[in-house]
Amino acid sequence: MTVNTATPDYIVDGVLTDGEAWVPLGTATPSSANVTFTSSTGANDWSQYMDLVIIGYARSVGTGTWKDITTTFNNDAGFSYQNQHLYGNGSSAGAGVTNPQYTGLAYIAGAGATANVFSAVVYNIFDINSGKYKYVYTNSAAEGGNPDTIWTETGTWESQAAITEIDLTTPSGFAAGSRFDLFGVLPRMVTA
Amino acid sequence: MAVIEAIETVYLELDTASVTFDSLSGYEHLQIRVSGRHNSAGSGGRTIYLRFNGDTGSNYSSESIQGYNGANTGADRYAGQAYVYAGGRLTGPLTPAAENYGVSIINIPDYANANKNTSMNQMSGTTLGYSSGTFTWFGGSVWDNTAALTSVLLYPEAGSFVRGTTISLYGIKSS
Repeated sequence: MTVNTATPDYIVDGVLTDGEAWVPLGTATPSSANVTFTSSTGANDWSQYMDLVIIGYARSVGTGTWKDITTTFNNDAGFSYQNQHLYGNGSSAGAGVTNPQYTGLAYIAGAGATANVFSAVVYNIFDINSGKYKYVYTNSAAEGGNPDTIWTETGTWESQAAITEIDLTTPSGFAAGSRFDLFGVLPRMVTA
Repeated sequence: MAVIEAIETVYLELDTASVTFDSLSGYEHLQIRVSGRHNSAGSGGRTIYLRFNGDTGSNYSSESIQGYNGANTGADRYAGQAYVYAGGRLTGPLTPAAENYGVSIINIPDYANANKNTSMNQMSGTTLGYSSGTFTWFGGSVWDNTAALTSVLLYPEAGSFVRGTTISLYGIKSS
């Protein structure tokens, strides 16, 4: 895991300057079943961001052609999440709602998928420091096997707390070569 | 040189009928990110409408797929509308919990090109809705006009945006 705790480039001598709206915060190359991103200091102090984005490229060591990744915020393992998903499996489309102990469900290729096939996963996490319930929108696709799964989901964490930790978990573990990159998305308040 | 710049974030401190962005120049692509709620009495989820360059003519067409209210799926097309229909999704008064704001990402590529119609896509969703109020939605739209975009108007299908709604505009540059 690498974490960017440097003084933000967009603060020069204490003055905010224009810069990249997406700030790279950390990269995880997991060798186990869990990825944890945690707010800390400098650029990785999440209190300065409007949204967070995670871009993943991953594969599971679990059996089958696909495996799931679940998301929790701030170590909340209660039934505090609501989800509406939409998916396709190569021959039909479906949808559903769930109220599990996680959100941000995504699917990645499993050990039964074609060798060297990894899956693209994108998480958009909105307004992370507001007093609103927290939303995550995921897009993922587990290709390279039969059945395949393409999955998009809107998830809500029923909490008004600021997000300070994100845990991504897949049951059997991530395959070597998997990676997740976390970005902070800055707002820009314009004075008329 | 920054590749992705935050152009403007609008945080609504009062209920507001619409939001307009009109400082768009200098980028290749635009992205709008919304965390929003509306106040139209008696309704839950509602759509975000968009108009470009103040055009109120029937020059917009939209298509989308949805997963909604549990196991339901759907697809639809709205042609010749006076607004972008598939602009995103908002929660509303019937959505349980006032803290629940729907989310949307709207991508508008090559918006400054004056030789092509403007197309966009959006991803959005709401949860915890009443009856048909939960949505996961993917849509695409086109404005039948080759003019370069100079302004983008966003407004709820009914009512106003609620206080606390945030709408941010980002510009993406090329090399």
